[in-house]
Amino acid sequence: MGMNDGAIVKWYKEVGDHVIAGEPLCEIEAAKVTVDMEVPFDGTLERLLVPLDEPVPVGTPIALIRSQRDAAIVAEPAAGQEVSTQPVVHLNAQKPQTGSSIEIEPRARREAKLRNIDLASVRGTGPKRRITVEDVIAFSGREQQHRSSHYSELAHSGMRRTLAHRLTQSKTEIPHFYLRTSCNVDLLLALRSQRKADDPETPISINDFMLRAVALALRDVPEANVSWHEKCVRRYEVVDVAMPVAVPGGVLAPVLRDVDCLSLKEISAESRRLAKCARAGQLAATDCQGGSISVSNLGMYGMEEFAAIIDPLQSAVLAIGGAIPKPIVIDDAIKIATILTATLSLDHRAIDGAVGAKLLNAFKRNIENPTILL
Amino acid sequence: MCLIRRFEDAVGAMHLRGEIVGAVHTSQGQEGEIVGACMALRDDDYMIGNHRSHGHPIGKGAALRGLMAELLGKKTGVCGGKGGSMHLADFSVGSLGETSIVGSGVPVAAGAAFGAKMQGLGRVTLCFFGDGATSQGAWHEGMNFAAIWDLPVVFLCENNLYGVTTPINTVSRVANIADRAVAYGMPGVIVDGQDVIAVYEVVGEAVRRARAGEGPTLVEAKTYRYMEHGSNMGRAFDYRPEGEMEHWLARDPLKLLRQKLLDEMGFTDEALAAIELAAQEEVADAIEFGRASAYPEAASAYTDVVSAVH
Amino acid sequence: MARRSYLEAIRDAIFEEMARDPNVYVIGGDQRHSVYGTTTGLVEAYGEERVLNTPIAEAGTLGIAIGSSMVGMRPIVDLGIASFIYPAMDQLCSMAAKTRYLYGGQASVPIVIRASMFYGNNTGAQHSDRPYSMFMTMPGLKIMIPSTAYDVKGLLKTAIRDEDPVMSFEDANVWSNKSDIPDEEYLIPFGVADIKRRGMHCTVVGIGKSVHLALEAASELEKDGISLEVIDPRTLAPLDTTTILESLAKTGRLVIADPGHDVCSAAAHIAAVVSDQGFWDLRAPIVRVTAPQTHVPFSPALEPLMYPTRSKIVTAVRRTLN
Repeated sequence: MGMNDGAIVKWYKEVGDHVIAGEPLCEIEAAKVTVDMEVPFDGTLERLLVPLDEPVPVGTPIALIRSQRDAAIVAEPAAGQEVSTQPVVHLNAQKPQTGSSIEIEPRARREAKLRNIDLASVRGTGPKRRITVEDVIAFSGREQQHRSSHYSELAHSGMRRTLAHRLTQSKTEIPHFYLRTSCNVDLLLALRSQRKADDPETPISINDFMLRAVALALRDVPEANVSWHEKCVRRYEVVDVAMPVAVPGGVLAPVLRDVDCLSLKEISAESRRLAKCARAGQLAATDCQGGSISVSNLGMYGMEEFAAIIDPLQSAVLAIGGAIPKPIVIDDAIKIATILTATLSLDHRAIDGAVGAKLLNAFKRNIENPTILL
Repeated sequence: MCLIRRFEDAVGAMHLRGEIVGAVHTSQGQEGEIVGACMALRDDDYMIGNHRSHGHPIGKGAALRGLMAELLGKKTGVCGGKGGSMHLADFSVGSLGETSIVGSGVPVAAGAAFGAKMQGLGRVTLCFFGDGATSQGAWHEGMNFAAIWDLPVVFLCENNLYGVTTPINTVSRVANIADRAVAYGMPGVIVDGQDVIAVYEVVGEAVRRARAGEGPTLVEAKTYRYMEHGSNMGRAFDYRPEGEMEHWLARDPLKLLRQKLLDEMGFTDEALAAIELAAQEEVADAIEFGRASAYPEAASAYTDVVSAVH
Repeated sequence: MARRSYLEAIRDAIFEEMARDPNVYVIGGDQRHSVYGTTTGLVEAYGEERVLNTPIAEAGTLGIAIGSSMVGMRPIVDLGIASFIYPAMDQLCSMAAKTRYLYGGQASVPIVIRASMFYGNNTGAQHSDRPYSMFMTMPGLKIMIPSTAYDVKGLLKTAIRDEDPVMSFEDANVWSNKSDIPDEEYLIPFGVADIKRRGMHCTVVGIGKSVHLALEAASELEKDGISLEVIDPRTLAPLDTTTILESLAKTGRLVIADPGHDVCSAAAHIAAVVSDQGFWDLRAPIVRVTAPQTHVPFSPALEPLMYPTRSKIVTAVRRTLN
C-alpha cells in the first residue's frame, strides 16, 4: 500500500527546538491511518512549511532543520516545490502501522487487570496515543461511580413492561398533588370485631371498609369521580373502584363495580374473589378496566403512610397505611387511639385542592363513623 | 599392574555393553610405566594425569570401588558421579585430578609443584601426559615455568606412538620426546615403559632430584596401547603397521615382570596366580559395589559450581 | 579516612591481604617493578618469593596459579590487559572454572585474576577488549567490575579471601577516581549492587566507567525535572538482579549502560532477566547503551564513537520517557 500524500495533524516539536535524529517530529495522517515521522538529522527546527491538516504530496518540503554545522541561510522554497538543500525535511512515504495497534504500557495492562477495566474503553494520552498507567487510573476513578460488580439480569415480563410504561406515563404526564389525613379507627375496629363475632364465616377486612368508605365518599363528592381527557373531563355516574393486588412478578388492579351499591359483605366477597383470581392469573382483561379511583393498601406490610401513583386512566388513588396506636389530643388531653393514615394522590388537572379535601374529609367521616358503612 | 589390567579389561567390556557411558580410554599395555612411576612416589606426593585416566589413580593407590562407581556415574564415585571416566580424582591419595583437555594438566602440575615448594611441603608432583600433548602450547609453557623456577615436578610422557590415529613422527621433527627437554634447560631421559622396574628406577631418580630442589625432569616412557584411543572405536582404523601389535604384545609388561619374578626372584606360579586372582576379585568387588550404589540426587548437579559458602 | 585513587586502593587491598595471609602471592608480568602502581612496595615488604615476574605465557601463568591454589596457595594473577586473557582461555574455562565441580568438591581454586580494560586510549582493536560478558556465561567463575576506589578495595579483599576463581575487570577509565577510604578494614560482599544515586523516573544500570557517565547524565536530566536512579551492580557473577527489579518497580523504566559490545553483552542478560521477572512493572522498552558490533578503530577521530557517553545515556533515558 503506497502513500501518495499525507497531512500533518500534529507537530511534536516547536520552532526553535533542538531536535535529535530518530525522535518523532510530527504525526502524519494518510489513508485514514496516522503514523509518526522521525527527525532525519540533528539540528534546530527553524521553520514549519505546511499548515496542519492539509494533505500534501509525498516529497513536499514540510520543515527546515538547521543543522549545527551549517551556518548558511537556506532560501525559502515555495509550497509544493521540490528543494534538494540539506536542511529541508521532506514528507516521506511512511509505512502505515498495520492493524489498530495502540501501544499499552505493560504496567498499564497490569493496572487494568487489577481494576477489572477493559482497555478498549480507555483513552491513551501517552505518545502515539499510548495508554499509560495514569490513563488507567484516571479511567478507573470515573468508573468507580458507575460500578456494580454483582448483579444478574432479569428479562422484562409483559406485566413489568406494562407497569413500567404506565407508571412512567403517569408520573410524567399527571400533575400529582397529595392530601393526607389521619383517621381514628377505634370504632371501626370495634365494629369489625363485632361483625366477626356475629358472622365468623364472612369476616370483613379493613380494606373492605376502606373500599366502602371511598365509594360512599365519591358518591357524596361526585366532582371527584372524574378522569381527565384531552378534550374534556369525564364525570362518572357509577362508582367503580380499582383495587391493586400484589401478584407474582408485579401488580394487577381489578376493578369492583358499583361499590357504593354493594354491602360490606358483598364487597368482601367480591374483593376476595378478585384478589384470588388476580393471584391465579385468571382475571379477564375487562376485569382491570375502568374505575375512577384506586385504593392501595400497604397497611398489612407495616407501612405507616405512603403516596401512590395515579393510574393514567384515573384521577386519584388513595393510599392506606397501617392502623397504629398513637397519642392524640381529645378535649385538651392526650389519649391513645388507633390511627390510620390515608394519603390521597390527585390529578390536579381534573381535581382541585378543595374538591380533593372534600373527598378526603368525606372518607375520613365515613371511617370514623363506621356505622355509615353498614 | 594386575589391578590395572583387570580393571581396564572389565571397563572396556562394560563400555562396549553400554553399562558405562560416554568416552572411555583404556590403558592396557601401559601398566609398566604407570605403576613403575607411581611406585617411585611417596603417598603424600601429588599426581596429575590425562584422559586415559584409570590407571593413574589406581597406580597412586586409589580404592577401586570409588573409581568404578565414578565410571558408572554413581554418587559413591570419587567425584560424586560428576566427573566420569576422563576426570577421575582422589585427593586422599594425592591424585589431583585427571584432565581431559590434552596438555592442560601440565601447567597445573607445575603449579602444584610450585605451591608445594612455596609452602616447603617437600612434596613432588608427577605429571602424566601422552605424546600428542607435546604439541599443545600449554605444554610448552608449563615445561618452561617448571624449568625457570626449579619446580619439584616430574613430567612423564607416556609415548604410545599415536595421538588417536596420528603417529608421533608426523607431528614432531625430534625423534624422541625427551629430546625436547634441552629446549627448556632440563634433563630428558628415555626409559622402556614396558619394564616396570626400569621405570621405577628412572622416575625414582627424577623424584629424588625434584625433592632435593634440583628441578624438573622430562621422562619419556616408550610404551604401547593395545586398544584404540577410545574404547568403543573398534578396530576400524588401519593406521598401525603390520606386525607392530605382535611386537608389543611380546613385550607385555605383565608378561615381562611375571617372567622376571619367576626367573630371578623365586616366585612360584601359585604365588603369581594368587596375586592375579586377588586382583580379579578386587575388580569384581568394585564392579559389584558400583552397580549396587545409588545414582546422585538431581540437586547435586547444582552443587560445587562455587564453594558452598555462597 | 584517607583519599585514595582506584589504583592506590588496589595496591592497598593486595598489601593488606598479603600481610594477613602468608599464602597470598602476586604473579604476572612485570609485577616486581610496578608499572601502574598496583604493586608498589610489595617486594620490599614481602620479598621476591611472593611477588613473581612471569614469562609472557598467560596459559602457563594461569596453570601455575591454579595448581598452586589447589594445594593451598592464594595467588593474585595479573594478566595485564583484558585481551590477554584469551591465550589462557583453556586454563580458565577447562581448569579454573570446572575443577571444583569435575572432582566432586574435592578441590578449590581460590585464585584472583586481575585484568585492566584499556579502552578509549588509542591502543587499537586487540588491546581494547571489554570481554567480561563472555565469562558471565561460564559457571564457576565470579566476576567483579568495580567503578570506584572504595568499591575496588572492598571487593578485591573479598575476592582474595574467596574460595573460587574471581575475575576482576578494572576499567582503566576510572583509574583516577578517588574515594574516601576508611581506616578500618571493610569488605564488600559479592552479589550486592550499590545504588549510587536514588531517583524516581528511570533506572540506569551502569557498568564500569558507565556508572560515572550515568551519574553525569543524571545531573543533566535533573534540570529538566527527570530524576534517575543509578545502580552499579559491582559484580556480574553473582549478579544482584533483586536491587535492579526493586528499582524498576518504582520507576518503570530501565536503561543499561555497558561498554561491552552489544551482542550477548552484560546489558543483554540483565535486559532478558528484567523483561521476564519485571515485565509488568515496565512502562517502556528496556534500552541498552553499549559498544556497537564493530572493532575498535585506532584513529582518534573514530574511537570516541565506540563507547557509551553521557549524551547517549541521556538520549536513551528520554527514549524511555517517550
